[in-house]
Amino acid sequence: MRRPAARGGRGAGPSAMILIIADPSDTGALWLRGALGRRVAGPVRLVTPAQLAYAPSIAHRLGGPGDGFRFALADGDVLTGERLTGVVNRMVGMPFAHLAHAHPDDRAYAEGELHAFLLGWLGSLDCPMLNEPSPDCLAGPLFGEIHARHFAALAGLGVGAARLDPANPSAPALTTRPTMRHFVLEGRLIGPIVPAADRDSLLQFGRLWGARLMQIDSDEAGDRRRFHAASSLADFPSGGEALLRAVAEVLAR
Amino acid sequence: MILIAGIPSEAPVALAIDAAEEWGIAYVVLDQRAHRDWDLTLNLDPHSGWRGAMTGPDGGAVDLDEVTGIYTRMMDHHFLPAPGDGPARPGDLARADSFHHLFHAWLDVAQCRIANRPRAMMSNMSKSYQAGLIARLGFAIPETLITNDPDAAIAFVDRCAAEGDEVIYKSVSGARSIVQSFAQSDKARLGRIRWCPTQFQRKVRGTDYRVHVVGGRVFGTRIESAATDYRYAARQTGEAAALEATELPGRVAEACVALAAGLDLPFTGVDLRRTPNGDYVCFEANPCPAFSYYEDHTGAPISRALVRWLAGDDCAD
Repeated sequence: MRRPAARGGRGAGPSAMILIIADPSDTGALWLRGALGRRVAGPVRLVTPAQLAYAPSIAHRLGGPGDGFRFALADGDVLTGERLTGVVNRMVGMPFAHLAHAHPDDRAYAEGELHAFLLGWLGSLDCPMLNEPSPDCLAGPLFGEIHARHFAALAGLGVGAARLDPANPSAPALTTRPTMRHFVLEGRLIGPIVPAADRDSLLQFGRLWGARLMQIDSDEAGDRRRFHAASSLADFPSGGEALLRAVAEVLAR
Repeated sequence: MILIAGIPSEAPVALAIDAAEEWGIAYVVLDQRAHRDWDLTLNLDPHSGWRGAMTGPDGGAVDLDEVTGIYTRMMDHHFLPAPGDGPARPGDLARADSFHHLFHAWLDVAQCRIANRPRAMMSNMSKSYQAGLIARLGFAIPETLITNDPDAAIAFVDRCAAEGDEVIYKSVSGARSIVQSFAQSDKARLGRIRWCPTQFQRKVRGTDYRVHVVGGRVFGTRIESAATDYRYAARQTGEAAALEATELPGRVAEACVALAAGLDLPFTGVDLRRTPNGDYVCFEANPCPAFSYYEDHTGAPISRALVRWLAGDDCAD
């Protein structure tokens, strides 16, 4: 047994940057790239999952000398851990186009292998990451309504009555619309001011959810906030300046 | 009462049922092949979350609040054979999807002992992901390169060879694969890895150990085999692997318990190799271990420990 060796030099070089991994159609990520670029000193680069997966040379090393990774991208740029101060990970899907003509069995195997590789690589990054991957979703934990409502109930948020069985596996949607959106980032609540009990509930929900950054939509219902929805994929523009400032602090720390 | 969910005739499930009988532990078996005959209802309590109840084929109700622990070893229901009474009926698959979705989601949030929760079991979907967690939890892991670059792979193989070590390759994902040694002739087909990053690993010399952790208890098995992958020893070497129960050094046993806890896998099979200099290298933690193979060969009371743990018994004897 051993303790993992500390990796030095992260984000220390002159080309240190914040990396955003997102599809080119992810407007929230594009907005964030522009907004962060105006706020932080170093570069903010957006790479797509396809650029990573189709990199001509990928090497991820674990458990030995030279632990770390190197992507030599098709555009000639080289990504290494030493260059990253922080990562915004919005990799909700993987590119499989290059496997389209493979035998179905081989394709399924290769897709599983690519997912496993990306999960392991993202999980190995030792810089601040919004969000760290989860086995069920590369962009962070992906919870369905059963988990989300359970967390909400335990956190003290209002939840509608629900009864599920195999014939009715989904709870009916709330008839009201959410009126507030909050973000939980590293245990901080960002969003409209709410009573202390509601704030505690929202923070507790964030802890149960487990992602470094997540958003919660709610409305008022009687004596406590009522849970509507939550996601590990923050809608950055709706978080405004307060969320942007907090994200920049985390990523450029 | 404990709940055992799986195929009752499958060896690990059968051993768990036998152990529950032997110890007089009340149990219910959810025979996955008969899932159509089971019903599951979840009600959302505004303060404590989901509460559940099941109804079995005989109409008997199971209040899930009274279940102290669950052993789940369910297969992908899409691969279950069709019911014996004829072709699948319309809606069967949708019903099966819903049943399994509800059951697995409830396992994730249920407030009883679970071996193991579905979400925690997913860490094994990626060997490199789990290896990172294992390293952070204090174990050494094998030197590994995952690459789509033939030149990088050759440089890794050559460096290991120069230091007297072989290289093996195997899947990164949870897909079952037979570990293979990298041969010089494999260099000619390395171009294929450009399609998908592939895992290469410096072969760790030493003796294999499988360690089953059940709650806080540890059962070690020492495996003697000349095969690259002892599970396929007879095929690879013509001689089956030899297994014997063994006591592990205290620090190793404690590290395995800590690893299981860190991965939220209270019942796990940890694959270790003891190197000639006495170090232990960890390959993976299996979230749904086929422990019957080891129990049958060594007599280690793994199934008894499992059902006793599920019943809330933490006794060490």
